[in-house]
Amino acid sequence: MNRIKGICISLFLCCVLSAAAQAAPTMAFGYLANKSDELNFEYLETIFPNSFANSIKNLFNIKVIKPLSVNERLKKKGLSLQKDYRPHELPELTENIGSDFFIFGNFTPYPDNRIKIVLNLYQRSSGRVFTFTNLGRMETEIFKLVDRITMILINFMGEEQYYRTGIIRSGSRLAILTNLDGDELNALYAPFMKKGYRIAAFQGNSLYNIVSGDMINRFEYISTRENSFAMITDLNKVRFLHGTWAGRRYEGKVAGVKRIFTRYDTAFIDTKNDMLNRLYSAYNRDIDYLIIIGFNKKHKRAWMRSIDIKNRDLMWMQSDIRGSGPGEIGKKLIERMSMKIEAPLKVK
Amino acid sequence: MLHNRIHRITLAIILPSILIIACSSNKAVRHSNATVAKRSNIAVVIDSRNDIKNVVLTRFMAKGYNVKAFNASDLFSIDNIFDIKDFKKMSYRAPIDNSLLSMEKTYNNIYKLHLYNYEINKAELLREMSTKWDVQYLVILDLKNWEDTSWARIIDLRSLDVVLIENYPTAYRDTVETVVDHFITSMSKK
Repeated sequence: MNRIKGICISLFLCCVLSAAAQAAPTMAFGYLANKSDELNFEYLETIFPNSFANSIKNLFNIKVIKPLSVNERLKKKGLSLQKDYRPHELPELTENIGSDFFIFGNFTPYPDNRIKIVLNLYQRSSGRVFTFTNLGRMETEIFKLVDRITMILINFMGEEQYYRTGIIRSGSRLAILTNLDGDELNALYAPFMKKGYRIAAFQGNSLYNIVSGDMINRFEYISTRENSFAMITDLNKVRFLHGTWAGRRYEGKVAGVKRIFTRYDTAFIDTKNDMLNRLYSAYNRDIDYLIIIGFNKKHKRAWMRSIDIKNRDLMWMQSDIRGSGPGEIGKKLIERMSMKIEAPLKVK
Repeated sequence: MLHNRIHRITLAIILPSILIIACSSNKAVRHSNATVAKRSNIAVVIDSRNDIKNVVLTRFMAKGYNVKAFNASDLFSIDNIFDIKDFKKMSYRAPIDNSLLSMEKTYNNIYKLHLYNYEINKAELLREMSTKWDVQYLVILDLKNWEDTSWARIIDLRSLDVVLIENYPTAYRDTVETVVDHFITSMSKK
């Protein structure tokens, strides 16, 4: 009887432990490749990711896998950890590693003691990649730099998916793109105008808004030169059939499809930047930020993205903003946009 | 007993009234960055019957504004302008085995560009209104019935800035004339 009881307890403990292990997400770290010719910096390629991993592990209930262990896992499958990956390689890679997240990137040391760090965070469940660039001081104490980057990762991994690179000061001219119209759009504009922001007549020049809730969600993913939050596509997997039956007309169609993919997918950043240039000119060359705000059906929850029009870069991203309505959500955004960027974390 | 009944009836009347007032006051919003002086050249955008449009334009003219002949509802109030809504109906066959082949990203990006382009076209049209027709302010009005919110928005066509916004909860006794007069008074003061 006691034996059966013991087996039952062991089984129960195994289940509990395995459930607990499943609850904690796994984050694998790749290398942070040295983009400079300076070989002296190569040692940082693993030191950086190891430090990020330790920082995140100290703050989160998360299982981290450092580059060395990632490489070992991959070796078992006849692969090895590379310094760089293209986005479409990430789904298979994370599956081989067995992780929920994969972080990799690169760094470039600059004169006057500055360093540029580019990090890519891939989330397996959503299939999205968040890429950000941080240009800052190469701290003499490396932990300060690690804290700065860890802070960005932690903010993004929270429910708000928060990322911001700067302050939007009062007096800035904003072009707001949203799925509200009429009195609700006025209610959204009001707090911005009251705080001294200038609102460009972008969308607000119409009685009705043609952008519905479904349509605004197409703007949730955003790609810019330095920072982006994007879905992955792999055009190499597109196969065009060829044969003796394929005539000039068919070849023309294939070329057309390829052009569409290039213009609207692979080289979309260039296409979009051309459009943003036109937009900037159309509004008197006087727009500081394009702010995209997507409201849910009840207009009590929103996400936002902001592009700095001068450098055409994503500078602020936030989700799950809640309020009683557009006015309150607007106030919350203003509070956040005028707030100083948080000081680096103090690692416990 | 009678005292309690009166008390309940009073509460039943007062509480809903407070709620209605509270709801209405929540809807009232106003902010102005500029005064639209009398004799300014304005164009009025309103989507309503022609007889109501006439009433609205007459109120502005009576108050001394130069109302430009601009049948704006043809240009701005059509909700399917440029057929943007058609994009909603675009479809494609998603691959079963590999979502990386999805054309969703491409379609989303085409839609984004289409929308930016639409806003650029509107800005160019507004610029034309200012330069060719000498319109200085675009007044966008939406008049609503009692218990709903009428609203106005004014755009300075030289700067393309929104210079006035107002949400006005339409009162029980309001008419088209009183609501329009309210907005005219509002735009003539900062």
